Amino acid sequence: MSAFSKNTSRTWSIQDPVITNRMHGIIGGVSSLLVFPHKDHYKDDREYPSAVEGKIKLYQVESFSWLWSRQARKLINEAMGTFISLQDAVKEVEPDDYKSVLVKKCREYRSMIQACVEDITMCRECEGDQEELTASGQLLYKMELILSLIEILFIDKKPGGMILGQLLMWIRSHFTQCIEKKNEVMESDHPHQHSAYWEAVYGSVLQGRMEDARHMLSNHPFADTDPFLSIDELLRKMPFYQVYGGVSVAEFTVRWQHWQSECERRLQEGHYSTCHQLQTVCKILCGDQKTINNLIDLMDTWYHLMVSTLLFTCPTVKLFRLHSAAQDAIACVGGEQSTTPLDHVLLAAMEADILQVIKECQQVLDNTWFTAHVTDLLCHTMGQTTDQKFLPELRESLLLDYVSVLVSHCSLWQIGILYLDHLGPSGIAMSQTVLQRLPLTDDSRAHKIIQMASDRNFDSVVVGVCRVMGRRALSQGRLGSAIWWGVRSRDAAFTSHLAHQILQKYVVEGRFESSQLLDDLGPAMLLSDTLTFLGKYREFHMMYQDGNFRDAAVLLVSLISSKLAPEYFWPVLLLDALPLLKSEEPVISAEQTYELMYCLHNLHNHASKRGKQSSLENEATCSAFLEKEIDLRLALSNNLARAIIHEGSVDN
Amino acid sequence: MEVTKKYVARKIKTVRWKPPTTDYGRTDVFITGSWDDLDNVVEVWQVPETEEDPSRLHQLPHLGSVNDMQYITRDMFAAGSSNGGVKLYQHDSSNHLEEKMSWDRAHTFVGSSAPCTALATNGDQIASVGEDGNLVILNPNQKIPIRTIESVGGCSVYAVVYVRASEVVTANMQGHLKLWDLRSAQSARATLLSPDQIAVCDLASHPTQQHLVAAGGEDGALAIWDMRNTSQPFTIISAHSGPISEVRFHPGAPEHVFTCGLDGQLIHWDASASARPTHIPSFKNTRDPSGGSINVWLSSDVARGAIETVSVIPYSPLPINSVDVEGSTLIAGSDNEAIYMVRQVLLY
Amino acid sequence: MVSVISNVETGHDDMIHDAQMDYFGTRLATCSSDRSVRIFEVKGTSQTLIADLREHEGPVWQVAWAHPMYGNILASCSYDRKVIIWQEDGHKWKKVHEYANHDSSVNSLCWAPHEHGLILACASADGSFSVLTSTAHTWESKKITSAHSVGCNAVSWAPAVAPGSADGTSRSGTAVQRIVTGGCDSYVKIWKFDSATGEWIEELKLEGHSDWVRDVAWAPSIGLPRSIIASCSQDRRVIIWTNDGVTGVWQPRELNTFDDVIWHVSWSVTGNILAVSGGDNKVSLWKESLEGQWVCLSDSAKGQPSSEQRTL
Repeated sequence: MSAFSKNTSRTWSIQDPVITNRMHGIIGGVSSLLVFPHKDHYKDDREYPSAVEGKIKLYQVESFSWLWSRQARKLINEAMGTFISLQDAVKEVEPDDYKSVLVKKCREYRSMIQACVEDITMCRECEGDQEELTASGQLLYKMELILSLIEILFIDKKPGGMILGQLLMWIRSHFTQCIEKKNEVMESDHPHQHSAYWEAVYGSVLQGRMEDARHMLSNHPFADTDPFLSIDELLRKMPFYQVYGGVSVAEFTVRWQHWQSECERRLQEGHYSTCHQLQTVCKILCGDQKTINNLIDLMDTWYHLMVSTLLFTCPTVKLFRLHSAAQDAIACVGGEQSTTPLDHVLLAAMEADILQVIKECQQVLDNTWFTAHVTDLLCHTMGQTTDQKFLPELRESLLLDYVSVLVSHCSLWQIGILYLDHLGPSGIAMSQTVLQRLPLTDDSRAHKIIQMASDRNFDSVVVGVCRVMGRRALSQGRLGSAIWWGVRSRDAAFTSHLAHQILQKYVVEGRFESSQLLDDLGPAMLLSDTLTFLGKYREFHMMYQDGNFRDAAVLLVSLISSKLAPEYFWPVLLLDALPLLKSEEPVISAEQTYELMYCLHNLHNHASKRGKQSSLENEATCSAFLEKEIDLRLALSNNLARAIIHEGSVDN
Repeated sequence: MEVTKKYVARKIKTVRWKPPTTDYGRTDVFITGSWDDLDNVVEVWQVPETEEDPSRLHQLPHLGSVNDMQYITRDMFAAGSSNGGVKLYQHDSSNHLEEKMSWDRAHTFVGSSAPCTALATNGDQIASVGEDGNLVILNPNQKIPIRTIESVGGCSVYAVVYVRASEVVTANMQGHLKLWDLRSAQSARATLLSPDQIAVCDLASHPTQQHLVAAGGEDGALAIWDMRNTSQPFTIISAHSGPISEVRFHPGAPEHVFTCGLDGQLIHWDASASARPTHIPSFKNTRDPSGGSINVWLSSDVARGAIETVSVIPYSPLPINSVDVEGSTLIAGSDNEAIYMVRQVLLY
Repeated sequence: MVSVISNVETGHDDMIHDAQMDYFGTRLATCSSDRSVRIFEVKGTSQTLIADLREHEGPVWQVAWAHPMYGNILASCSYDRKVIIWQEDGHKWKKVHEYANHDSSVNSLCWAPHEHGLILACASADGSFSVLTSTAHTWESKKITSAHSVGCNAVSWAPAVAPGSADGTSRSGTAVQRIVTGGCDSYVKIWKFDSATGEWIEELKLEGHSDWVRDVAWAPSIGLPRSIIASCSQDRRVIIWTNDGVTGVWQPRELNTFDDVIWHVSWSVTGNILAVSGGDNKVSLWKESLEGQWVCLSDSAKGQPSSEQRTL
């Protein structure tokens, strides 16, 4: 029974009679919880039987994040690029230029989210869990809404603090019903008779889309009559503040007030008494709160209401006034009790309370992507201001949480590591832990992990991974791979161990299974004495096969005398010397013969000391050796004699 | 040169163009294989005429990571999996994929399966190598492998290419290249060496001059081997700062080579500037169909390392795993769960 | 937060005392009152049994995996006073060592960080704990007697990384070995290995609990200079001991008082989440907030309909 529990609370239940009253849990792996039925062992250590009905099951509880869905994957990957380029840009750029960088990155995040929404819309037509897709779509919409408001209020602050223009754009891009209505209306045969005609007009006016409103009105059969012409003029002449328009705030205010008093005058003089809809439009232009409030159905939300109200009552509103305007708007739509967590986020933003924004975001969105990236943006935005001291820590903590979710996914771990590079010492520590714990499913994954670790100078991780791979290769009998990993890990102990394995195999089988890999060890040979010996011994073999007996002999004797060879291998070396001793030409000098004799002597002593304790392999070699020992002694003494004579005569 | 990047929600291990339907035609369809995911897939994509992103035509689940894919004929390709199996797929003209044959335990360790690391084909047979060090020759119509050449030394083999119809070169993690004559019963004809136990990660054979093999190494260097002189590589040039994952000769313009690697770079090696005949005698006894500028890769410029290299895509923090080029369009797959497409890659 | 719950029929005949995932999360070992140790291969959400080890003569209390660089090695301890070390050879699990030097039940065991070598510590109801060190061919043991009066219930190793340093060495150049134990005398004790004398010395005695200490767990290093130990006790409390790495003083802070005895505390691999489980039939997860408070993330409780619903 595998259960998907969409549980918005923080308690999960496990229904299992066996586990009743006996539940016990332990953290298993990187991200799961193991839960199983348990009983306490009593103080007096008694063993006691228990009557168990049913099967003993162990439950593995893992959190499944929205971040692991296919839609979110694209967001995660693309956001990584923006995040990293943001961190780099902030380091390179002068603090004065931060703003343009931050605005750009914020817009990149927003367009990513929008691209995601589009994908979901397309996806809905083909496959997928409709409910899930809809939920994802809504989530993304909320994220983009909040982010664009944050961009206006915190990141892209315009000089002078005048925000209405930006807020208007914000509302226009998120509430498109009036455009849709307008298009619907205008496409019909007789627009002015369309049931939604006037709603479309009102909607456009409320969003400050004066051109659209005028266009619709001009389609009205009475467009040439006085009221229509009058209203058209008002709509045309409404002043809109441009931040870089060259007009000062004071001057704009004068113009605007002048315009609005003209609107009021015309209204009072009854210019629109013949058409009550036009009268409504004029009342809107005059900033008549009641009229605007009555049109709440066209605006849907309190923030649309707020912006529309401000447009016609206080276009020069500054940020610090926003909060009270928001409260007023909320009161109109039903008061505090009807606000949603999303509303709380927006409110907190309007109060310029960053911490509250982030906290509320965590309530609205159940994934850490948004809070982590937004906090990072805000942290860089606030930068040097001293009253937001908590921000860097909060940023680090949220990003670490985000990364924890990433690294518990089998595919997203690489992205997690990239983020950790920018999170200080905690990031480095977590990076090392995570890299070490990634399952090494095959060589290519191991190589990638090693590459990431060595890029970051995590030598211990590299060594650790190589050791595990080497050990695994060894247990599967793949000596070539094992040696390669051993050399890579620079683990002298392990490579020695491997070299011993190979030598012992040789002793038993009489040949090298993996001779080729031994021929080309290169500098790796020096890693451990045993490995060096192995390499040199192979060199000896090569020399012997090439017929280079003299050099082979020199090498062999040096190997014996240098004590590089492990003791169990001495018999093999001595036996190898036998054909050289017996060769036609004296190849082994007197000096060298003495060495060999000494070695044989030692071997003999050790063997007799050990007595009966030898292992099976040693016994086999021993018996083979004993047979040859006499032969060897004879050959040694013969060679000694020959060599002394030869050297003596050469001297002479 | 225009570069587009499309996020596809899976890490892409292999990208391959579908061969054009006629010898001089163009192709606008390619396949990708993913890796390291809960559910890996093989997908078919189409490149539109306009500047838009490629669109997905078909998707088939795949067990294990897709470590390599090679087209045997124009509408059949083989895919090698990390679970040790090789599968044969039919890719028909409606761009639909269907599994035709499966060799489930092509590569094994003692008691478990071993990842298949690379595939090669001569149009008739499939050569497969894996971490068990074995070279397995498969016939598309037979369930049992025609031949299995066991490894000697127990070392993972990472790359394989056909240099003639019955000769393959394999490269292993120790950097050894071996030439195998499949007609004979004995083992490798020659062993070529790469110094210092640097693994060779991929091999590519020149499309027309069969004795030329390019090897991408774990140290980020590209080695050019002339199989007629096997004692050492003709040249080794460094470019990547991490292991190279794939090497490709441009099939129509083989003086261009493309490599991609774990350092997130995709490099275009352009040897066309050194297109001067090196020595006259070879002109006489060459069997190469391409007259004119022969042995571009064996010129003194290349030997010196004086070859133009250009980074094709902007810096990527994650590895680029695979690259393929056909005509003037290049595709690459990366661990950033994205497919890159570069149009007009040969003209700047 | 959505969770996926999968289950495996363990095949045990009696209650499970411990379950541990291996280093990479690919294997699971469970041990039970039915005297057996079972090993499963884990792939995604499915688990298959690969070994059933029956060498203990009493309920098996705990199992622990060694670092994979030493091979596939598992240790188990039991009421039968024995500690058995198992190793996978090919595809078979064999007993490679048995340690029977304790006079009563061995309650707990813990492998040392791999940087110290292949070393195992185990705690026994006879009041002592032992440290087994693997050498070339055999296991050397050292028993530290009279660690806790009445009985020693739990043992845990300190991470090898000297907190705050990235390369694992203390100033003297070698990593310092430390162990924390909890016992029936209600103390939590920290022991240090003195490499000069080759002996384990009691470094500190932490008082805070009023009844048997059931479990101790030293948190993995997270790159900060401080160290954290969690201890839980029969007195129904969990205490978090924090050493800021500067003053050398361990500050206790009570996590919570629960409804029943707390048996077990375990840290997440990245060291920032603590799982607590006990007789109150709940498993709760705790995390330190930015303000330094420990807050409960979630509970897993049996049979209770979820009472706190939070809507979006």
